[in-house]
This record gives sequence, structure tokens and C-alpha cells, in this order.
Amino acid sequence: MAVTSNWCRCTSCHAGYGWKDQTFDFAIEKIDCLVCHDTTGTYKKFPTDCGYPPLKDKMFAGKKLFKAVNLSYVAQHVGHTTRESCGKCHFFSGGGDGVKRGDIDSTLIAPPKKIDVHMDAKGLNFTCATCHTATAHEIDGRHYDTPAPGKRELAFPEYERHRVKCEACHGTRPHHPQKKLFDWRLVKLNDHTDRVACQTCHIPFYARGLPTNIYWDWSTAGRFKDGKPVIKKGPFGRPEYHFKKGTLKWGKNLVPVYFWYNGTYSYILPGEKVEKGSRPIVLIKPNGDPQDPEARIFPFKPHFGKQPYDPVNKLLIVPKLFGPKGSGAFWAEFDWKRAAEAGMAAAGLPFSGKVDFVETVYYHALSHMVAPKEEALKCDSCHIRKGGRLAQISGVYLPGRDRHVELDKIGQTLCLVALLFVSVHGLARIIISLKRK
Amino acid sequence: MRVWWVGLLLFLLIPVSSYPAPFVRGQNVGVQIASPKYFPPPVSTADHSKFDELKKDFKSPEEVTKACLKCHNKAGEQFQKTLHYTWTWKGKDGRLLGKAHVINNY
Repeated sequence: MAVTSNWCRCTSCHAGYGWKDQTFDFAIEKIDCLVCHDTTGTYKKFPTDCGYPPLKDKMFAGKKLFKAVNLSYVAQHVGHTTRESCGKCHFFSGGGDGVKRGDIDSTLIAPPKKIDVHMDAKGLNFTCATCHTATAHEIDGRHYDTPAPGKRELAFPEYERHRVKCEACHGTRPHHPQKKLFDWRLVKLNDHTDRVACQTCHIPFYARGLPTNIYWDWSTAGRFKDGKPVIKKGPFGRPEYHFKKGTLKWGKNLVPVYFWYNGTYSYILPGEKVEKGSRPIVLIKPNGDPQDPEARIFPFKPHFGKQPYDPVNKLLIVPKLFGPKGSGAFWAEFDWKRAAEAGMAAAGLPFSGKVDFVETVYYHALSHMVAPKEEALKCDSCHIRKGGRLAQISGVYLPGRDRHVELDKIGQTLCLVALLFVSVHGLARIIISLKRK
Repeated sequence: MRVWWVGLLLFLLIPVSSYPAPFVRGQNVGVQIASPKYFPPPVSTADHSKFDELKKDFKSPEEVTKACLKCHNKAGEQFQKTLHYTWTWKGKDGRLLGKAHVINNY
């Protein structure tokens, strides 16, 4: 839920060494060069060691062996980042393979074309950095409320430092006839790009590689049966209940939800008052509306959750999850009140002593795992009266979905009246011409 | 008479759907293992396994970083400022965002 008070677990994915509390000083020698630049695949950080790799063979949670890293060997084999080196953290966000993102998981280490046309290991073989261009270690992409750099147009040399947007390579009229010189259907298809993002049609489903988490109810966590922790296996081999995490729901090949999106996001921060209502609190929300020229219709993975909340102060709770017994950590003591006390104290926020749970939602923009073009959405996925993918999108007239019933009736009546007049007039002329003979 | 008129129409319409074609660059550089087809990164000009500084028996990963920064003497300052290191992003409204500050439901 939050990094604060859970440092050593969360910061095991930090590109640095030893971020174990608020006092971490971000010194130059604490930077971890190897986690990104290792090309051997042998450099792994230990999941609970604040960003340090294991220097001796070490078991994680009594189950998974982390082999000692040979620092000298790794240091002698550094190079450009790979899908695997970026993926060491990014594939596993949310605490496991594919859990959080829905469009990024370990199948991207060497994916077939049907999973990702760009990373296709036997084809284009893109790395993450092929699109996520970097300048002086600053890697392109959306950074919270700031859209990804680069213009939405072909990246000719003057802009080629930024290649993260689809248009940088594909241009703003991206559909080209394959065998014919000219295809009239593509002219109309190319007209969509000002209002519909490429991702909307070309990422027709998400979680196409591995299952992703779609619902996480923390309120049920902490169950034991006969003194033994409860874990229930569910669909896709993922737990539907885990004593540390609560009730979980998983999905594969899911249909995204769609919003207007201008490349920026809004966040609710711990310490900002939120009201518990009948609808889930939108924690992390894409911005954009049809009036915004930068906004396009874009696909998202919604992640619903139920998480601890202080009903008196009306604050989302930063819980301490990770830590030893006696620290208040939920995963050691399984007491939400103690976990809230410890977490909120570390975050410097007030806590009333009451723990309630609120429904929340977090929207993830889907930009990866672009499907082969044959699998892209067809016209009638959206241009259909009922049940279309863009049924919830407002502020735009969508032919085939929208109509004005009265106006349609007037038009139809006018057509019928015109037909009637033409028929009467034509008939009269035929009769008159017959009579003349 | 009508033929040139049709030709002109086609000439005007073809660019609408076929412009501009993607361009391919950097195909002639040396082949690297797992190199992407387009925009491959520059071929390295150094073999890191030949550097004595890296052949040491490192006692801690921080010593490796120091060895890297001895030659790559601007990389540290560059990386220090990035989101990957700070986990902090100053929002346009002045609020501190970034992984170290936000809250989610995972």
C-alpha cells in the first residue's frame, strides 16, 4: 500500500543499497549500477534486504533459494539494459509476476509475436530501452503528473531522443496499404488517431501473458485455522485467499475499461482527507476530457481493493506490513490497529485508533503487449448500438452507437414523404404521357 | 480526356493513406546478442572483463559502484537525480509524488 514503514521489503526493488528508513541519504556510492546493467542474469537483490544482493546463499521465506552474487563476475559483464534486467523489478510489481500491471510480466523476457509484436524475440526483438529512450540516465515515460516526453509525430532526428510514443515510429497516419497502392478504408481508419489512442484498438485484451490481480480485499487478511495460516489456491494457480494479503481475485485475457486520457494522472496522498461513500475512492486516476486536445480514448486496467481507513480522521491508513514481531508489523502480529499505529507514526500522520476499510480503485494505463494487427479491435467493437467497448465514453458523437431518435424519425418521415411525392409526380407524368398518345 | 482526371485524383489521394512510411535506421552496425531490429544501442567500445579495477574480490556492492564511477565519473550525479533513485517526483502543484509518497491498494 505504501513504502513508508515497509522500507526493506519495498526498497528491495530500489536501484540503491540500504534504504532502511527515512534517514537514507541517497549518497552516490549507494547507487546500484548492477541491477540495471547486469547482462549475466545472475545479479538478484534479496527480497527483504533493503536493496542489497545476497553475498551468501540465502533462503527467502524458507522456500526460495537466492544464490550468492559473484560481484566481480557481474561487474566484468556489464552492458546495456535488457528486457530481463528491467523486468527484475518491473515484471514483479505488486509482489509477484504480473500481479500489478496486467501488461507487463515475465513472459516478456522472450515473448512470441502473439504476446508482443515489438518484443517478439524472433522478430523485432525490442528491449524496453528501444522505446523508453534515456538521456543521462533519465528514462522516458510518464512520470506521475507529467506526460511522457516527445511529440505525437514521427521522431525525425531532431526529436529522436524521445521515442516512447507510438507515433514516434508509426506517425500520425499509421495504417498503410499492404498489397494495394491505395485502400479507401485506411483513409478513415487513419482519421481516428487524433481522438483514439493506438493502444485502444491494438491492446484488445490485457493479462494476455500471465494472470493479473484484479481485486484485493485486505480486510479479510490474518486468518489462521488451528494455529496454521490459511492459504487457499484459486484459479490460475494463484491464491484466492492468503493470510498475509486477504481475499484476491485474478483474471486473464480481460477487456480493458476506457477513459479520456491526456497522459497525466491525479493521486490521493496519505494525509489527504477522503470520504467513505457508496462508490470506491479513486486513488490513482487518469486525467482528460474530450475538450482537451491532448486527450485520447485510452485503455486501462482497473484494480479494485478494500484497504484500511481511519473513519475519525478520514484518512487512508499507511499500514506497517513488513517487520519483526513487536514492531507492529501486520505480517508478524496480524493486528490492523497495531499496524496502523506503527505505519501512521512512521508517516508522521495522526491515527484515531479506529480501523475501518474502504473500497478503492486504481487505474493502470495499458501500453505494453501490443497484439498482432489481426487481433486489433474491429469497427463494430465500438460502433455498435449496445454493449460496445466505448459504451461509457461521453463527450463525443460515435456513429453507430449514438443517435437522436426524434431527429432520426423526422429524417425517416421526410424520406417517406419525398418518396411519396416522387411516386405521385412520376405516376402522374406516366399517366399524362400515356393519355397524350 | 477523362483518363488524366482520374490519374490526378489518384495522385492526390494516395499520399493520404500511404504517407509517411516508417523508416529504418542503424541496420549496418555490428551485430550484438539480443539486439533489437531497429535502433540497436551503440556497440560497446570497451570489454569490461579486461579492466583490473573490476577483477577485484569485492567485499560489498558499494565497492563495485565506486569502481564503476571511477571511469563513468558523471553517471553518479546523473542517476542521483532520477526517479529510479529518488522515488520522488515533484508534482506541478508542489505536492511530492513518487513511489515513496503515494498510496495504492496492492
